[in-house]
Amino acid sequence: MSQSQSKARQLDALLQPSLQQGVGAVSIYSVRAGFMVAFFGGFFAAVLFGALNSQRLGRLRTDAWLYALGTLAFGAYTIALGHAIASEGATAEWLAENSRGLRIANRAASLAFFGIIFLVHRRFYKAAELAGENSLSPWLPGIAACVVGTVIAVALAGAGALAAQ
Amino acid sequence: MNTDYGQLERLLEVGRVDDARELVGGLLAEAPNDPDLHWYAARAALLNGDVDEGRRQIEAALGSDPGHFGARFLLFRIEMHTGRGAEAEQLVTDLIREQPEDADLLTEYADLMIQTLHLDKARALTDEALRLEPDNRSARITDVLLSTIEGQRSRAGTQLTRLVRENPDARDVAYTLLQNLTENGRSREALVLCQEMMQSDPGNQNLVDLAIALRVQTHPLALPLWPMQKFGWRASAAIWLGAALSIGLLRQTNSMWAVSLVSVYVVWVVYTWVFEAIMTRWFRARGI
Repeated sequence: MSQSQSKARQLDALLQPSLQQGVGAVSIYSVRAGFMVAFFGGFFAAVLFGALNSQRLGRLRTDAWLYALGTLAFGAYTIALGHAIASEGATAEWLAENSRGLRIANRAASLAFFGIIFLVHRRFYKAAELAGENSLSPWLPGIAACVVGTVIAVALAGAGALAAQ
Repeated sequence: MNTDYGQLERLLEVGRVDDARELVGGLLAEAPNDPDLHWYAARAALLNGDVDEGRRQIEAALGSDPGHFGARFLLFRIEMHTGRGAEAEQLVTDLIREQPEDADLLTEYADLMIQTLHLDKARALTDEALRLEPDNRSARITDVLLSTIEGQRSRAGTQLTRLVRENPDARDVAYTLLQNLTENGRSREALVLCQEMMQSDPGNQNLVDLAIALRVQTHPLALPLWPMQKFGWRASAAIWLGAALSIGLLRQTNSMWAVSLVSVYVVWVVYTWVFEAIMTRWFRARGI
């Protein structure tokens, strides 16, 4: 194949349509919203909210492994934690002594996971910002992610506690 | 008629849009099916911000000559800026197929891809435009934008330095420089440049908004927000972690110090939340 034919093929590949009917400039949820959801909603809320942005970017399949890995790892930790607390007898005194440390550890893990999502999506956040696109309002999906994330965490910890009994 | 086209072109180039509209209106009365005249009328309407009239004139041009290149290009720009991405893409890819060596068209397509966050494709299109025309200004400006997005600061800086040196008075280059300064945290220089640009374009609301945002960022009272301005959410996370661990340690030894630290932290958090909103309103009300 000659060089000009190869160039023509490359150009033809570039000219294949990428946009669907009715799709204009893409808006996503802001970095600040993602941070707040991870901070207040915890690990599973960060996963859900990050997945919403991936879906808006049309890369949910590409990022799915990250969310699956995070959910598996933190899910296993949460079950193990529920199991350990139940095994300890979970006295009010024990919880008072350790709950603060656990909260900090959970929040740090959530923020660390948000940091990974941020790194993966960084150029999209930057492009949306430079293109002057307004971010989507995060209130409803953010609160929903926090509520669902908390329910998942409680359910998994409860499952771990039940397994210990 | 060619003389009239030349006159219309000159009027539009120097921004005498009302004169151009008057002239083209008269010419269209004599030749209502001339696609070039409708194209000029569309350009004049769009320069005046009249998108509906612009679209009507483009449709008239395409009614007389469905293959009119200029009219199809204008229609692409309208579709792109009104959020009809798929329609805009169809138009621009058809135009590129007709003129595959046109770096400006490839750059326009790359800009559409940036707007719709298809960044890999935008990069490939920009690289192709630069391969065809390494000195094309639009392609180089888009390259600066993409390099900034990709975190390639040195590439963006090198390209921008060349652009500013070669086109010191170009408005699009000035905008790119402004964006670059803001991105690199050089808010004071960005504010000076922004104020200079406002003098030549005082009605530009985007520039006014940006100048207010930069004024808020550079105000002495913004000093407590410096970590966030510099490092974004990472600073918030690090400060929270530092505060949480310090408060935990202090509670075990000195509860008085722990209470003081909690108070300082809470006041700082509230300050970071409300500062920007209050100062923006303040500067909007009394000017910068």
